[in-house]
Amino acid sequence: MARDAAGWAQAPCATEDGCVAGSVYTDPGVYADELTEVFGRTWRLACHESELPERYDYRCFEHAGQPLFCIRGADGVIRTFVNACSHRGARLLAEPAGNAAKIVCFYHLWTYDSKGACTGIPRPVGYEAAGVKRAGLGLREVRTELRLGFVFVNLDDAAPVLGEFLGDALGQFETILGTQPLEVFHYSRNVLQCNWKAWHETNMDLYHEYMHVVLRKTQLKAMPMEDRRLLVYGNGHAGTGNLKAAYDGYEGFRGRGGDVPPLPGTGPADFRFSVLFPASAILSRGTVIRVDTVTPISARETLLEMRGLGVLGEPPEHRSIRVQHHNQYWGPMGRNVPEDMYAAEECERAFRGGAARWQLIARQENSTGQDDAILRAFYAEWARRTGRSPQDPLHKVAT
Amino acid sequence: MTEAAAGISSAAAAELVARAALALDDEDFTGFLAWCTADFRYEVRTWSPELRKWMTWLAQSRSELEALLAALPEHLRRRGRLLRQLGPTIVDAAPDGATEGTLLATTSFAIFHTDPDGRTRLWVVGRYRDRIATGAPGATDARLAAREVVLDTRDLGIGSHVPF
Repeated sequence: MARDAAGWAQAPCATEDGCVAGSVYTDPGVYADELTEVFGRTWRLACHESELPERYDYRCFEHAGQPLFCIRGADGVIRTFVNACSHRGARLLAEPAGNAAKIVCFYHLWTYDSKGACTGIPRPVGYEAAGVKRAGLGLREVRTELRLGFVFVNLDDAAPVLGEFLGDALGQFETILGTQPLEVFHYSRNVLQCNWKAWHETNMDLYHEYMHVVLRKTQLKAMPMEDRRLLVYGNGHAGTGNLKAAYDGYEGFRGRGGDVPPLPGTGPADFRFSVLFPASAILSRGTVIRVDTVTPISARETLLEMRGLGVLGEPPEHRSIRVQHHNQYWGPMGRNVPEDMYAAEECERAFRGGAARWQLIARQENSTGQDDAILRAFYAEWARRTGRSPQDPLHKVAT
Repeated sequence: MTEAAAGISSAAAAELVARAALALDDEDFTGFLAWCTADFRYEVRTWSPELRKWMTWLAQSRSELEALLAALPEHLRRRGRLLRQLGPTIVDAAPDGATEGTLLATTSFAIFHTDPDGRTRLWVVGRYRDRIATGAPGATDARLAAREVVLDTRDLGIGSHVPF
């Protein structure tokens, strides 16, 4: 039976955490809190160490509205700084990546080293009367830690250390990521016309496997639903570690997996993923790894960065097969990822004008199959950090 | 290699590239493949300033491409229509070591997307680097033997695996 306006506005779920109000995607106040209380205080996966192989290699990115860059110092240590000159705030490094033994501001030629110290100011005598000294003009350093080859950053100097934040969320990737050096071979960035959570939900929602023809043909029947195990780690992190794929079910994927060595600790038909709060994901499909990072641009625009990783120094014939395996599902020309992008943008259309009022995350299957436990864990952490209820996000509650 | 030796004129090469583009615009994939050799290879590449490396985003043999195109109706994808606007095709002799009887044709392209409501936006720009099998001197059965799509645009919005 169709519903009238009052019925449509009513939450369609008996359990408190089984639905989420559409205004979590659209309200400017919610978005502002997310930037400061979620992205401004949590660890964010910034890049992979293979993107900074040499001393002075740098990599620029944005996080929580701030321009940042990671740089490998003369001592080999990777550090992160706000990408702004101490003098007038000009952006220091304009290329997405490069190598800079000295970081020289284009504007007044102030100079910094790879540890963020200000090493040169033209005509410093002019600042003597004001008591401005070079030693106090270093760059703003951002906390940086490495885990399994990934560089994580946190803008909050008081936040718990990375290990405490992650808990065991990457435990299932210890062998895959930690046995041999890996290398990023694929990088793409797409600006999506949707809220950042709409994208991240595609990585947390197993029920939408039905949308993808490749998953209908390779994944849904590859193992009994009740044998699947969802993993909820705390702090909003979650994943699953034992999915299977039967690649022969999709024309064009036949024989996949036997033609290149699988990554350590995994088989060619294995699929697992961990989603890291608030908006990163690491996925492996036996022979190849995908990593997503999400940067909100506005409540309705999201920058999605995707990386593909293979084995550093592997033979070219292995690399080309691994790239092919990556591209079959992932990347902007994959059979899977563009459909997820389509879904995120299509949901946004209905929530934007308030037409859609709720989304349901109420599936309960004892943490197997297509349980929504991962989504509920995400929104529980989201509520804790924003001080807002996912069911009534326009009113802040005491935390 | 001269045009005469290659068996095809620059104008004929440009027409081949243009007709292949028209077929793709019309999603006449059978027609597009008819302009390709039996061992056609299709590849999409782009330079990543972030990684400071070339990347391959798609690499398909003819049979793989046929399977991909056959599966398109089952996939979700951007609605609307694509239109490929081509620049002049520049024809050069194939580099040393290339198969005898081939030319290299380079064509800039811009692809516009028109959505179901009739709104048109520029979607992607790049170049086709086509290897054209010219056949015997004087023959008129030139075909695309390989297409390398080199993308300038790297943000493809929601992406697509429809050939550029």
